[in-house]
Amino acid sequence: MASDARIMAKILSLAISNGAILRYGTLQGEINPFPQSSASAFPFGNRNNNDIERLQNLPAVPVDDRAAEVSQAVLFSGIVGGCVAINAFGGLFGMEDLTPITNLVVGIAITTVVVDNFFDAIVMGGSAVAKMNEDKLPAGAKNMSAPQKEDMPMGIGTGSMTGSVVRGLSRLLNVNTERDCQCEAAAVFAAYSLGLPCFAFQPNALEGASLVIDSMRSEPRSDDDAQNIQGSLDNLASDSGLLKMLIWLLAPVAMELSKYPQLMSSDPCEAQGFVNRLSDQARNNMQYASALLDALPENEEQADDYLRWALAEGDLLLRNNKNMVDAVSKALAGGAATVGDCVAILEEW
Amino acid sequence: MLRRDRRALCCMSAALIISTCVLRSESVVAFAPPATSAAKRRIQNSMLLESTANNGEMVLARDGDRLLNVAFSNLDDRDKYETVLTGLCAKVIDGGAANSKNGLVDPIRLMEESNSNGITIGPRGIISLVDVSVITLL
Repeated sequence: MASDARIMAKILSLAISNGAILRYGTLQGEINPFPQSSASAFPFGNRNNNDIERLQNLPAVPVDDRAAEVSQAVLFSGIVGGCVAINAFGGLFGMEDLTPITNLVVGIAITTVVVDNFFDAIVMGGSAVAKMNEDKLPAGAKNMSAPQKEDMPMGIGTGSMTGSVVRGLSRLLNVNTERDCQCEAAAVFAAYSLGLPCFAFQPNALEGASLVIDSMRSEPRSDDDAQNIQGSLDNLASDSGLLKMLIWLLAPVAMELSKYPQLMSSDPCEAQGFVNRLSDQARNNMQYASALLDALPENEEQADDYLRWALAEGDLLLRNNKNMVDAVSKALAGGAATVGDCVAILEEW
Repeated sequence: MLRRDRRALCCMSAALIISTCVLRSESVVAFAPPATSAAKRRIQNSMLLESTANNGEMVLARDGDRLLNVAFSNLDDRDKYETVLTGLCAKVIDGGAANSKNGLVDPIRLMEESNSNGITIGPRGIISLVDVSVITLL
């Protein structure tokens, strides 16, 4: 990674000098810097009441524990699958005695999942059927009312008990290429329009942190050919640099949130991971400590503000350039698009 | 009757030889890089001269190189740079990621040269260059 971003930077720099590329990094100016909050004094940014008010009203960055969701889904599938297998083939191995137990386990598991996730639909359907057949109901049953969610034991009906299993199962079973391509297009567009020399389709914390650290290193000075193909990077260890990186990391999240209720293709944890990695570098590497500490948030509250602001700015960037992002997304969904093809679309060649 | 048949046979074989020559020349032109109609005419003229010099026989293997040169010299500078850059990048991509960094030296030098000459590279060249630089990230 160390020299590769420099190679990309060199090539883009040459292409810009050549006049072939006109739109790389042109939207940097449209990004609003982090506002200086009176409640938590930021060491950067302009004090702007509108921006502070906007920051306070921004929704939180969604969080999900996808590892736990997937592991719970696998566990659930394993138990149900095991019980069904015993029911089907247990007779061959003399395990008929276990059949009542496995039936009970499968019944409880499926009933719990169904009631927990479709409580409202079941209650609504039951009430409607009861109302339609009111005259046929016995006198005692006429006065009965449907149970409330709040009255159910163990929070059943709210989705909290088995919701993670369902979410995990949907993660495992749902493959949506179009959705993946939309997220990838958002990442490529954000990187290109913000002038970041990295066009990863799926940006991650490690790559982002490596790019920031690499941008802080001095430029290579050598007559060697391998060194000559490396360009210079803008220092990203600054307020604006960090904001650009966060927007890049959160662009897929912003894209997915604008179209779907649940995050499947994008991972909001990457942005937090990026801040954590840089914080570790600032603590452990004295060479970069000063510059990084100036740019990084001072505490968790500030870090949360950074992420919310970056997500909102990323969302705005993508909405304002929806046609372009959609065009890249369609090209990626076509299956034949390379990064060069994406650049061609972004440059409208 | 026999003379008439002989004449007819001679005419037919002459026509066959001529049509073969014409077909050969057309096929060579068809495989040459795209050129303007004026350029095509020049290529055909040069082939005609070559054909006359070789007593009407076409020497396709030797002509191949010359045709390439003629076709290439008929491109303008912008197309020349784009063609060579695309070719160099394709060669690096074919070589895989292992030697891509070393392979990038020539395309980058070519790009620098075109910049110094004030020649804008076409989209195909830039697309190839970006794709090659992405390979170095792998």
